[in-house]
Amino acid sequence: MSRQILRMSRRAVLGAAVFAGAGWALKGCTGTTTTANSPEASATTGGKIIATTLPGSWEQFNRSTLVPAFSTAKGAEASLVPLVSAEQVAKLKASPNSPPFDVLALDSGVFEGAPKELFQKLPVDKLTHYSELAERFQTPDSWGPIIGVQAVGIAYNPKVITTPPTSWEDLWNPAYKGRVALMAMKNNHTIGFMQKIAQMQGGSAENMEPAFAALKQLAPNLAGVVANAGALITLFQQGEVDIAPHDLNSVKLLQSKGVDIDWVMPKEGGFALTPMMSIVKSPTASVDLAAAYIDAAISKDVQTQMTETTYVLPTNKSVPIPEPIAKKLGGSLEEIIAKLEFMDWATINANRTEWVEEFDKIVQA
Amino acid sequence: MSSAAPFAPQSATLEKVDRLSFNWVIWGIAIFSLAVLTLPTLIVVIASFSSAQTLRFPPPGFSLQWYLALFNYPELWTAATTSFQVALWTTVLCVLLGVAAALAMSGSRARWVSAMDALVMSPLALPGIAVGLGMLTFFSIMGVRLSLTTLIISHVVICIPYVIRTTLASLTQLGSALREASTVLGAGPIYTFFHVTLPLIKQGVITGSFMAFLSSFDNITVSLFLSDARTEVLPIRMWSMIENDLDVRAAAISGLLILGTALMMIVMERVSGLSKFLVKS
Amino acid sequence: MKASQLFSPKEWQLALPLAFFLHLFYVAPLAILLASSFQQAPGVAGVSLAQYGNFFGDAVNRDVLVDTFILGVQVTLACLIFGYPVAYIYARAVGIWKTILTFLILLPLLTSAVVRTFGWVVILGKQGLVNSALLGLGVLQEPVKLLFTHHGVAIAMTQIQLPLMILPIVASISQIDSRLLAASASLGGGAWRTFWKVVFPLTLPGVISGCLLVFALTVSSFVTPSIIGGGQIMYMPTLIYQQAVVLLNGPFAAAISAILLVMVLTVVIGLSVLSQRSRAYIR
Repeated sequence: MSRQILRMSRRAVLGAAVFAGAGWALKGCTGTTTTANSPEASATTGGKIIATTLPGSWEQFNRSTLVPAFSTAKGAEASLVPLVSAEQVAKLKASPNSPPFDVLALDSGVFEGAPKELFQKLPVDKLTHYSELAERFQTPDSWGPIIGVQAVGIAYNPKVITTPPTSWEDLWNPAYKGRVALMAMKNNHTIGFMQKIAQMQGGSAENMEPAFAALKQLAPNLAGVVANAGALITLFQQGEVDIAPHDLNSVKLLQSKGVDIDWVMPKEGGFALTPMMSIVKSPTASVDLAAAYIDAAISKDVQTQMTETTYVLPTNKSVPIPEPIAKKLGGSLEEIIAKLEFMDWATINANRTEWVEEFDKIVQA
Repeated sequence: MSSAAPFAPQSATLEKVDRLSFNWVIWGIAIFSLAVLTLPTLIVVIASFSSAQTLRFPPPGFSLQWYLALFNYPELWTAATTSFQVALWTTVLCVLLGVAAALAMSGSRARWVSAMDALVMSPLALPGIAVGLGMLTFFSIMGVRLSLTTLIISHVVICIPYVIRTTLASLTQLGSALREASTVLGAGPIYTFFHVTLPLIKQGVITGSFMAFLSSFDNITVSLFLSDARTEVLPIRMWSMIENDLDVRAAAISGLLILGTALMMIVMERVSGLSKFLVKS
Repeated sequence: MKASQLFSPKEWQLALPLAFFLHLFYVAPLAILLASSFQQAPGVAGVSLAQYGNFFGDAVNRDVLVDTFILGVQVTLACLIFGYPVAYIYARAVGIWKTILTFLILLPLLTSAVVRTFGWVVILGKQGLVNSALLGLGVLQEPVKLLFTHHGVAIAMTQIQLPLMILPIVASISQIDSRLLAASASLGGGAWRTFWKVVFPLTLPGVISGCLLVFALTVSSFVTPSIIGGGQIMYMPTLIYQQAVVLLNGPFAAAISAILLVMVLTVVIGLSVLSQRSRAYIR
C-alpha cells in the first residue's frame, strides 16, 4: 500500500520535472530525498543485504523470485545491483575495506581470476540446501556454490540455415562466408569456444596454438567480433549474421520472444559457463544473512523457477529438467553435465592476458 | 580587370553565382548533417513502437505496449529520478564554479591560465574508466563512503570542461573593453557582472550548462564506479537492459525522453520565447 | 561598501574555488592512478618504467595509439565540416525554425549511447540502410563492410559529437556584430569572401573550443567504439578497460591512461595557443 504510494509519488515527481523544466527540478529533488530514504526507514528488523546480480534475465529472475523467497524465509531485505562480472570485481577491488556489496553473483571464470583476499570461504554449515547440490558441485573448502549452469553450443538462424549444424567445425563451412559472429575474447563464451577448438585440433587447456591457427582460417567467415551478447543478438535479428557460439538459455529466451533462432549441441560436446555466489571478506550485513541469501538461491524451489523461466540449468539435483531443455540435452542433470565441458579457469586465468592479446591481434589483422 | 582593387564591385552575374553557390553549399551540407543527426534516433524511436518482443528494425507491427510497460517498472523510475537529481546538482555546481573561474581566466593573460586550462580540460581527455577508477581508489583511501554526493562530485569533475569552454569562448569574443568601461564609469564588479557581462555571455553559459546536464545524464563509465550500491542511474539501467536482452523498453525510454524534451521546449517557447532566450537579440 | 570590498579582490581569486575543488577531487585521485603506473607489477613496490616499456615495445599497442589519434583528427574535421553550416543556418533561423533546429541538434544527446548504437547497426550493417540504398541506386555492386571497421566507428562518432561542435560555434556566430557583415557586403565583399575573411575568423574561438571538445571526447570515448568497432577495432579507452577491468592489470591500465592523457593535453595546449592568437585577431 505505502509502496504503491511511493511509486506514484516518484512517477509524479519525475513527470513534473520532465515536463515543467528546470524550475520544477529543485522541487523534484526535495521530493525524492524523502522517497529515497524511506525504504531504509521501512527496512524490517530482519536486516538488509546488498547483492550483485548479473544483468538482464538474471536480474529479472532474482528480483521476482530469489529476493522474495529470501525475504519470506528470513524477514530481511535484499537490494540488487546489476553489474557484469568483471565490473563487480573491479568495484570491490577498488574499495575492499568498505565493500559496496555483501554477496557477489558472478561468473566462476571471472571469480577465479579475482584476488581471493576480497572474499571469504563459504560457511557451509550455515546452508541447509548445500547437500542437495549435485555431487559435482559440492566441493570441500568452497568459496561459494555454483548457482546455475549455462550450456554453450551453436546458435543459428533456422530460417536461413535449414540443415542444423552438427559440429563446431561447421562454423568454418565456406557456405557461411561472412555469416559467423564471435564475441570478443574478454567474454567467457569465446574463451570456452577457443578452448574447445584447441582440444579438437590437438591442443589442450594450456596449448591454444591450434585454436589460434584455426581462428586465422575463420577470417573469411567472420562477419564481426562483437562486444557483448546484446550486440550479437542485434546482428542476428537484423540479418547480419546467421551462426555463432551462444548459450542455450539466451537462445531459448529469444525464441520465446519470437526471434528466429535455434540452438544445437555440437557432436563434440558443448561447454558450461557457471555463475556462482560468494560472500565478501568483511560484509556490512551479517554473514548469517549473506549465507541465507545464497542458501535461498540453491534451494529447490528457487532453482526450479530458475530453470523454468530462464532456462539456466539447475545445480540442485532434486530439480526436474523441463521438457524444452530435456529435448535438447537429455532428461537428467547427470546426463547433461556429462555432455558439458567445465573449464579449467585457473589455467585460463594464468594465460588470459596473453590469449586475449593473441586473439585481438588475429582478428584485427 | 586584374588591376581592380580587391573590394571592387563585381558584375551582377558573378555576384549571383557567388551568392547562390555559397547558399547551395551551406544549405546542402546543413541539410545532410541534420539528416545524419536525426537518423539513428529516428530508427530507435520507430523501433520503440514495435509490437514484437525484441528490439528490431523495421518492426513487424506497431503498438504502444512498451511505453505502457514502462509504467510498471519501478526500478526505472527510481533510476531516472536519481539521474535527474544528479544531473541537476552537477549543472548547478558546474555553473557556479565554472563561470567564476572562466571570468578569472579570461581577465588574465598570465601563465597560470594555460595551466588551469589544461587542468580543466583534462577530465575530458581521460577515459571515464580511468577517472572513475582513480576517484574510487581515492575515496576508498580517504575512507569516504560512496553516496549520491560522491557521484555528483565525480560528475562535476567531468562536466566542468563544457561550462568553462563555452563560457570562455563567449568571454573571449566579448573582450574586456565593455567590462573595463563599466568599471571606469564607477560600477562595482558585482553590478558589472550582472548587468553587463552576464547578459552578454548568457548564450555561452546556457550552452555549457546544456552540455553539462546532458553529459551527466548520459554518463555510464564514471557512474559505474562512483555510485554506491543502492544508487542506480538511468544510463546504467539501460545499459544492462540492452547488453544481454535487447529490451524494447530501453528504446521506449529514449522515446519518452525525446517527447519530454520536445514538450519542455514548446512550453519554454510559449512562456519566454526560447529563441530569444537562447540567442540575445 | 563591505560587500564591494568582499567582492573586489583581484579577479584571479575567482578561479580559486574551482582550482581547489579540482585538486582535491581530481588531481589527487589522478596522482594516485599515475603513481600506480610506475609499479613493475600490481602490488610490487619500487619505481619502474616497465609498464611504459611494455606499451611502446609492442607494435600492436603503438598502432592502437596511432589509430586513436587518427580517429580523433578525422572525427574533429568531419564535425567541423558538417557542423559549421548547421551552426550558420541556425544562427540565422528565426521563430519556430529556431526551436525545431535546437531540437534536431540536441537529438543525439537525448538518446542514450547504448540505444543509439542499435540504430547504427541498422544503418551501417550489410543489410543496413546505407548499403541497401547504395545497392539500390547501383552505386555499389556488393555491400561494403562498415560495421566493425574504423570507418564505421568514425561515422558514428561524428554523428554523436556533432552537437558538441555545433553548439559552441552557434554561441560564437550569434555574437558577431551584424554591422560587420553589412559593412563587408556593402564593400562588395561577396558571400564567400565575407565568410572566409569576416565570419569564419570571428568565430574561431567557438570553432577551437568545439574542436577541443570533440577531439578530447572522441579519443577518450568508450561505449560507442567498443560496440560499433566490436572486438576487431581497438582504441586506447577499450585497451584501458580491457586491462583494468577484464585483466585486472591496474598498473598497465594506468600507464595507458597516462599516455592518452599526454596525447590529448598536447593537442589541447596546441589549440589553446591558436586560441590566444585568434583572440589577438579579434581585438
